[in-house]
Amino acid sequence: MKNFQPNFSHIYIERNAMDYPLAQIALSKFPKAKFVEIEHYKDIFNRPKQHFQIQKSSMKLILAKKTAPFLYPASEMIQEYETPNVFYTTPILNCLYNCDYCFLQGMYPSGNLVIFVNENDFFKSIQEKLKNLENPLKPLVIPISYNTDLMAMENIIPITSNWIKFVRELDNLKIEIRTKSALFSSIENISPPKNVILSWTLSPLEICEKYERTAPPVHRRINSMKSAIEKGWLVRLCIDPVLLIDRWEDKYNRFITDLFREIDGKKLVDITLGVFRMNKDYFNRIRKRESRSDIYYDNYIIENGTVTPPIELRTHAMETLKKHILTIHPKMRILIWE
Amino acid sequence: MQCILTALKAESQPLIDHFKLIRDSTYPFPVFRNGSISLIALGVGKKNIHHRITTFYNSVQENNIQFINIGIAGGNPTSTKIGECYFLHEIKDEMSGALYYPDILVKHSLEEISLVTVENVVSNGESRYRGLVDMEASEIFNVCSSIVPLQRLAFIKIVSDHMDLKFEEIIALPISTLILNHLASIELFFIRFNRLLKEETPILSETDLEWIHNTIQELALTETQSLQLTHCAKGFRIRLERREFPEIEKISTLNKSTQKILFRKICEKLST
Repeated sequence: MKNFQPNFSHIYIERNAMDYPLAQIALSKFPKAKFVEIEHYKDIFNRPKQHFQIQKSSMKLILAKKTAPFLYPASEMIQEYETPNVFYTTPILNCLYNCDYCFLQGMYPSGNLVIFVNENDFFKSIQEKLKNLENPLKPLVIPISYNTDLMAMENIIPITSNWIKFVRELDNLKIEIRTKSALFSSIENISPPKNVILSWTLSPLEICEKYERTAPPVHRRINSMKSAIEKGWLVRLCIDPVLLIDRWEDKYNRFITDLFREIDGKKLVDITLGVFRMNKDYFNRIRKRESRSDIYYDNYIIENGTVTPPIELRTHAMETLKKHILTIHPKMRILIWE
Repeated sequence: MQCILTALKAESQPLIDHFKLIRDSTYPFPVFRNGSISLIALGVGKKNIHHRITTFYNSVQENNIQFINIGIAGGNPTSTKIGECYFLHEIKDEMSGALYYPDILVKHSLEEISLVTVENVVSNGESRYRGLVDMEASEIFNVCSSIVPLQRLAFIKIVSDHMDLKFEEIIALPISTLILNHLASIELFFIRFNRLLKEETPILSETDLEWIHNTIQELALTETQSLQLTHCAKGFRIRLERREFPEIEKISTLNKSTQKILFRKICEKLST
């Protein structure tokens, strides 16, 4: 919309973040931006009375130095990874995209993005954690793109590639980079490590057009995913969240059938499935902010603090899709949020 | 509604003339209005700001108010030019050390700068302040941000001096001319800024709210049912922007069970 300043028209930078190489890279990408020096990122990001959705029309960039903790226990919203050593980390707060069903709009007070530029401090904390695992026989698993879409930012700031380089030599560590981006090209020259999983979230076209309007079109995501598979990367497919819209069964089944005509399912690490679910407080905050998405006015139940469709519906949905996937790929490993 | 906030009469006058504002004598302080634009004269310094802004805000029916502070400021001689108009992206209150950051979402044609709000006129502060100084902005931000969301605040300042004049010398300057020179860009900003209000249009219109209110009354809905009805109504309005809400069935004797049935029927109609 022409009325708005372009995204990243303003870059707010903490004084003590200025000298980090990542900060300098980010600043160099936006020579026309206004730079404003700040004391602490929370002075901008945590201001009261911000309008998340309006800010999404003109996102600002905040460059900051993160302090501990660098790792957080994984939320119950993510699928079981078969290890107790699952933590998530937040190299970036908030996302370039703005999907209707995303919990970030209920989690954060601001639509702006914070990039933490002291990546070595993140890396050190992981090295420390590896020495002190709850179950050292199991790997440490870290989704690094949980509160953002890291790969979507790769043309602005090479955090994804830096993380891949960091984890390559570390035993007993796996990272997952979940994305909706079509920017695999930005890391395609890196040889694929065995402990990095690239996960693409895909949805049927109708869902993408209605609820993922700011993310790349699904065919471009599929192309990126195909390239990653062809180059030998470990790739996970995420059909998550499954939205139980009108005729969801037909739409998702057709989508899955079509998708497996394009990509070689046998080469996928696994598939994760899950219905729409959200922390109750985030959900209520989004409703209170008058979300324009019909998702927030549907009928749900609250189960252990999570807003989700009733159990019969979601079990039926997951079983239906699982069954359909298994008819095409009987040996497919499917992880389901139940 | 857009509400201009000024300190000096010389700042107000060109804006009053340009927007053809008329004094509203119902207020015990200077307020000028014309349609969707108002102006409150706050006086110099922080002392009147809270009272005048909140009195005005509480008296108008309109909730969607944008506050725009327009005024003169002292400028650092190396980073600013006398007569230049600036948009503020950072405001510091010198006394408390508090920092305020206006949200700059709408395009504008002005340079941007930071400002420090001081308690007294600065007449020898050329080297102490990097950007601008004034005597009101931080308090305006503080007061206005407690009543409206951040995206409804904007601060425009015109450099009147290089922090080398006494108060008497500043008010003797051709302040109105300084403002007049920038009216075109100020007005353009007003138009763009006003469009932002449309982004805040609530899902439910006045008519929708009236329907909900009537339904709650007629069916004697509980608080939980009323909330549920409002959610269903919002979902309906998002899906069907122009369609009217369903008619409520008239029932002569409403007991607990008929009420529940009717309520469920309405929610079903709204959800399909």
